[in-house]
Amino acid sequence: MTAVPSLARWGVSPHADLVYRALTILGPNRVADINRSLDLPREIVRSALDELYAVGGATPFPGDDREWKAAAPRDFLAALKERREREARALQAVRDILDGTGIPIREEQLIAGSLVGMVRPLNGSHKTRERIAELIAQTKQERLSMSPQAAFGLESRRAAAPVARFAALRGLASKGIFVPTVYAEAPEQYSGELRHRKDENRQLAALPVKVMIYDRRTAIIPLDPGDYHKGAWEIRNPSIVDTLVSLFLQRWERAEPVKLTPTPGPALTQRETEIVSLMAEGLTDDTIAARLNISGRSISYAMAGLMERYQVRNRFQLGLLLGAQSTWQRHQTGTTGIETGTSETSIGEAD
Amino acid sequence: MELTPREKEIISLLADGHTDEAVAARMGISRRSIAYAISGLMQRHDITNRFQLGLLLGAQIDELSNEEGEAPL
Repeated sequence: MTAVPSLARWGVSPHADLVYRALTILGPNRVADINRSLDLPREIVRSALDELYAVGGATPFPGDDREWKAAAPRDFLAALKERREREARALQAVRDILDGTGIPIREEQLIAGSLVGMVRPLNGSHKTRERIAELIAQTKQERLSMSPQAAFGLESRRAAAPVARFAALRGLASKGIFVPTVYAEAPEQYSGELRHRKDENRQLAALPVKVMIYDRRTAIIPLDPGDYHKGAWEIRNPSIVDTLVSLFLQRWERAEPVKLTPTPGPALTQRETEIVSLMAEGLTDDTIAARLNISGRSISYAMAGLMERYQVRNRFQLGLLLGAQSTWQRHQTGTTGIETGTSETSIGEAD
Repeated sequence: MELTPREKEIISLLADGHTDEAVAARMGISRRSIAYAISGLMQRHDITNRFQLGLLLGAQIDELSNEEGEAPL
């Protein structure tokens, strides 16, 4: 029997620890046998194996992931150590960036306790954009963004539009702080772009660092504040994310609300907005009629009227058009004509 | 949004304002195949009507029209 030191202090979960021991003692083994001999549910064994695989503790047999083999304890420990050192270096790099912008991170915030990687680099613009799209898809409630950039290039703007629409469709609340020059840019740059109904924008003369925060759990900062092309750090270390959230909120308090002139677009009547919003939720004409206490025919009329006004021939086309404008959104609160998604895409973007 | 080549063709014809019949005729397939393809697409995205499908696609129109393989972000 090979002696295996406790893996818990390396951040390995108890189940993964157990499964690793079983594999080491029993030799290469099938998932079904492991779950029988450890009396653990199959899904738990599976996720333990996934965890071990991710951190170099076990590998499936080529071509058959029902049979697994443990890495030698020495190799596994070396991999864990290497992983932790990498994480520590990443944390230190993040600390240096934030220190450099006047945001102190205390020593005790740097503990690299977890295996899942609380800090990781996103190298280059492509990877960064990809990850931001994923993050927005996963965000449930809110995104915060702050950017010290004096202006955004056309390329960033163009790239930002789909993300912003995506976020708007998902009904995410967005708060953005930018420097005044961004808002002073020619208004025609915003025409045709989305107005986010749940967006709030503010301005402040100077901002320390570019940061995006999703659901107050994940933060993105540039790898190099002097060169956004290089990519970004993705940070999930709760303590550092908290620091960044408080930094954001502090500036938010001090920043001045910005009201931008809305870009012109055909407005919907209140009735149309009601109908279209319910339809966007997937309700049928009949259900909508019942809900609004009007006849089914009134729904047809209203839709026909809208299609006539937008010069389209079917509801699919109407959806396409409204989706692109997002004018259907129910929460018509703001009048902003700015793309707050811009701040996200300009990391790694050629400006 | 991932679309099969056939879905893409149907969608772009519908987006031009054609009826199901016209799309079917143009593609040389049955009307039923059109309805089938669209309902499969809607099911995959957990939506129930074509208006929603339009909204969803409309929000990604840049992505759809950008065939050069450039990142959508």
